[in-house]
Amino acid sequence: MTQYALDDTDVAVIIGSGPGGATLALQLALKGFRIVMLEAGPWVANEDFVNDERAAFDQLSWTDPRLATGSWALARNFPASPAWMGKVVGGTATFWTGLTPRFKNHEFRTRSVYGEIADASLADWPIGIDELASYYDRAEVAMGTSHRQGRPPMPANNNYKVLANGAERAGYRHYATGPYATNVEEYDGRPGTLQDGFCQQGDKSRAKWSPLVSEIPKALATGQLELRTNSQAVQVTLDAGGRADGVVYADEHGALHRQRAALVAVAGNAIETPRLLMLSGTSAHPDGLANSSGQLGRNYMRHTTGVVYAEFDQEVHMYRGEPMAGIINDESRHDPDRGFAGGYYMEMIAQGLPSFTTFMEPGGWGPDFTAKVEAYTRTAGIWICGEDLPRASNRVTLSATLKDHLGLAAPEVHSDDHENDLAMLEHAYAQGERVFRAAGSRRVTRAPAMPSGHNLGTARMSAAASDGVVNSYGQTHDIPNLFVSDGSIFTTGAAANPTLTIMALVLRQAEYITANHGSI
Amino acid sequence: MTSNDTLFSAADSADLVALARALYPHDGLPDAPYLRTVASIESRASVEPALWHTLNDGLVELRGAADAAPASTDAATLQQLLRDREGTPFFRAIRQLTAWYLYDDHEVWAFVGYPGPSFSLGGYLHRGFNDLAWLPEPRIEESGLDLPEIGPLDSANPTVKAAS
Repeated sequence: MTQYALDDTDVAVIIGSGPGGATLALQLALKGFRIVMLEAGPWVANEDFVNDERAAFDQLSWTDPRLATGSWALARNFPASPAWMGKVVGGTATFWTGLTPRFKNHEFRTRSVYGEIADASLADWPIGIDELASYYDRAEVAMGTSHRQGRPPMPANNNYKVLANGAERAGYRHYATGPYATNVEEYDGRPGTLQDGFCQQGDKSRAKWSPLVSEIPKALATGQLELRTNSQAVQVTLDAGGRADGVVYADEHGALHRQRAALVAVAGNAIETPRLLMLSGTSAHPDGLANSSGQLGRNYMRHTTGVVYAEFDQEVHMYRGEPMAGIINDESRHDPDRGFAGGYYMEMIAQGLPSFTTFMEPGGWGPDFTAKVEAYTRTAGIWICGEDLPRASNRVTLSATLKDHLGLAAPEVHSDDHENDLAMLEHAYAQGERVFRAAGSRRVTRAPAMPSGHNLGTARMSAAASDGVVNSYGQTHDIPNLFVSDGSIFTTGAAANPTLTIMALVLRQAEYITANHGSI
Repeated sequence: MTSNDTLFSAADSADLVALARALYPHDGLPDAPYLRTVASIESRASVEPALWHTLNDGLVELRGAADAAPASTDAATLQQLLRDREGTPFFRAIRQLTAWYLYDDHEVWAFVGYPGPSFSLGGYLHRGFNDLAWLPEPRIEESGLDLPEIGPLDSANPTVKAAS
């Protein structure tokens, strides 16, 4: 692998190897940039993934200290673990589920379309669907997502048969097995799915797209990228002129190193990205870097979610096959007659027994609980994914008391449910139950949110520097050579699963950097 | 429970097993998974002083409140005793740890019908990923109909109102 010196001042440093960071690395590498990528976690090869939910969690997840506060269910049920993120090459996408809907046109203009909503900080994006369309196309090609760009649809597994039949009988029409970013058949040097049902523990077969099987090896093959694993960024440094000039990181032994840089891109996910910029605060920037707006860490979003499980008289075996290859779109529209703004998707979900028993009824016990456990093979699931409203008071801050293993302030994640979120969730639970009852279920269970895989909004994109942290290219308003390259930059959350949009935004960002790097 | 027997007596272990079964009763499931679950909890408590203290304190209190040792008490009575203690650190610890280890036990997986990893067996591509036959084969393609982005579903595609 190519190696750069710590005092090479002409490299671009990318922090994080998830979909955002890896996409940026590949695009810049193809244009001849010299790149150092810092990944806090290790390289775990596909063959070393462990198809056991508990062991895989320990192997792949970010388990550093965190604290959740606020009225959201996660602060009650999982206060030390409100989000599920990867700490591994490929980031959270090593265990993502894979649905890739695009945003809708109006989801970039929610302040204009939804109007003023009390206690929410809605804003229009400084970019629209038209500017992103070609990048969405490229992102779908890169992922090889099913149903798109000539890729075939994913076949129906058992869990989908329940979902789709229930949807049809409930009067829904807009259901399908995708778009889903897993190979149905061989594509891009990777095989078709084995329907092995374990991609949320890392996909051993490589059929599911992730940076680990695509952007990272492709970027390494250019000879332009040095990937430093077990290297956790702890500070972005500035020169006397206020430009980013390096990144300090801790190696696996906790020893610090400083890599000089001509450009820095932060892609650490919407909790760690603002945390790092806050930890990088200086006398001149006491509230953190790129925070002249005061918006850094604010407007944290994680989607309105919950799960509906349903028992049937006959076998389902939801654990067989792709766990999320099924979606109902009918409720994803904005229809205020339902009593809330924004929309939601109903997405198929399957879990192994350990996760099912952990999340089906957090804290549950006793004979009623074990009866549901014993119905496991006759159970199907719907995961709700809806737009939650941004609020300035929902935010990531540095803890005054909790520290990580390096002695650095841990992130506190505060979130209060907005009444719009609660109204949407109630509607979605009822509709999910309706779908399953239509398919013949006799008993349904509403489960609360699981630790968030979708974490968004904490370095908000805005046209004016006073309204947000970055511009439409993810370039920070305050520091021209400091970029954010992950879901932190979402102005609002939309209903769609975010990974495709993160990649589309970063493809656009990469073109901007390439075209302007002489003047950035 | 060899290395922990100075921390947990045989009576302690028997009581913890009875509590584990009262928390997560599965008729027909043998004692072995509950014994392994309690062994794992004791092993963890043997290196986590706060956990040991919580378990020991909780057991002592429970025995004082009950008419007999948990191991000699029927499940319904134990469940009432546990329900009365749901807010206590003892209850939270024993519930959470029992669920964690019990449902990670492969004998329990087999009892429930969860087979675990499938990659080495070739996944389910040729082993029944789509063998559900009690419902019709659904469409897998997208519908081809336009979905309104704003407003109600159109008349040919009736609005689905909230379940009443």
